[in-house]
Amino acid sequence: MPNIPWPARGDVPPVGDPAYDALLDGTLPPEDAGGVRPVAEVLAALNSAPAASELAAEASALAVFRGGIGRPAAPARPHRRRRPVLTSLLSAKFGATAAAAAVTLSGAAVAAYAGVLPASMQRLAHDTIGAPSAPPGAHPAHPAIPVGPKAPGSAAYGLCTAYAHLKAHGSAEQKAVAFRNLAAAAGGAANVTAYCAGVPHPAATPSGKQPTHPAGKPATHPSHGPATHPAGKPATHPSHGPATHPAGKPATHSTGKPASTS
Amino acid sequence: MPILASVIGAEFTTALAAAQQGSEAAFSVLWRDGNPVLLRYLRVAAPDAAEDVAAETWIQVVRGLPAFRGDERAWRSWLFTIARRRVIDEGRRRSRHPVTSLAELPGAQEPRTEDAAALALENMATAAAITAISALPSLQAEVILLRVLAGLDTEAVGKLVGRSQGAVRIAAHRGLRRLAQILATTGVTL
Repeated sequence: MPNIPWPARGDVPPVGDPAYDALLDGTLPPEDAGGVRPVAEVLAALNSAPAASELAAEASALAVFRGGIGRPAAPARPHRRRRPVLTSLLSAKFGATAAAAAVTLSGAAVAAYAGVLPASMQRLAHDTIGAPSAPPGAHPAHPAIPVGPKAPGSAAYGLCTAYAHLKAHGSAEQKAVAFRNLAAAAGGAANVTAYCAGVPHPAATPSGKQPTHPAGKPATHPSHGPATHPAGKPATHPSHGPATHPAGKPATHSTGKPASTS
Repeated sequence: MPILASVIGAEFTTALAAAQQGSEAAFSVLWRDGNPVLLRYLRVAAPDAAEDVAAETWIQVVRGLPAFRGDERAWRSWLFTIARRRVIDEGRRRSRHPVTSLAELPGAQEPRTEDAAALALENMATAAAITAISALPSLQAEVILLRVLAGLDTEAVGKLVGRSQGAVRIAAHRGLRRLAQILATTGVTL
């Protein structure tokens, strides 16, 4: 950071000035802030309306919620690995993604993961890994996951087939979420190939093993758009179109690769 | 006015109870209210891992949700207590040294990640504000964020950062004063 010469002390109020207390309490808006108006404007900007990028991880968070309520805190699963996910991802030089992901290694997250998939994929996930369809307000039942690391219903099966499907048909963000969860379970991006070896391609999956569930997304999922927020966003925002995206994400939202870097 | 206070307010008790019963819509209200604030705090506290730490925070929230008891103030304190712990854990994972303050986290002064750039495109004023706050010493930055962004009072902030209320107020004042000096010198316009 460059050396910044400080102005004379008399230019700003001293420590203890009531204007600072008012700024911290949120009772001094910029227009009334007089000499500390620039500071007031910075604090007001901290509290601007949420940006789309700050709400992008909602589907992932809801998936965690679906899988987590009603379950014990740390289910013991034999194939669970406790590696530091971020260091393994970074060491594998995995391309950086801005998409937030619920990165856990528990079987609960594997089941919950089904909630972030497109509707067509949710049915596959429900049929294969036994993910609960979780109607609103209900406690999700424990899925019956067959024994065997690569068998239909196992974590590897669900994660690998889901990623393969999303790689071909999913959005960049869905793919990134899928890969991150897969890499977490595999113990690193470099282990994914070995982890998924032996898992059949989704096209070969027998379907209809269990009674078909309705599409997993509850109708009460709130719409994703500026309607519920105060009108604080600049007019240059791309408009968000939730209607066409089953996962509730704006169609024009791209994560992680803005054109200009600073 | 902090974002949290303006969105939930009287609705909090209802939303919390419904979320504890498994309502996704209610949890969504709590999440949409809390996540942007959490992210902005983390862009200063853990700039290269804000999204990951936020996700880990919500995982802990979901685990502890059934047992949580309290009003909205307690909820916000709890959310940020978890977040701070995750920030410290993240710092330990990265450096393999024990981290005892935010100032020890790598890149603590420069939020130059792709995520920050994405935010900058969408809301330049907020990104600029985060950059300005990041230029402050870590304690000053943190107490300002917890007071102004998270809407916590001096007592709650004191408990979170392990300082007296008087020390919290002094640190916050020093931070605001330094912010005023920075803005006067560099002419940051929002």
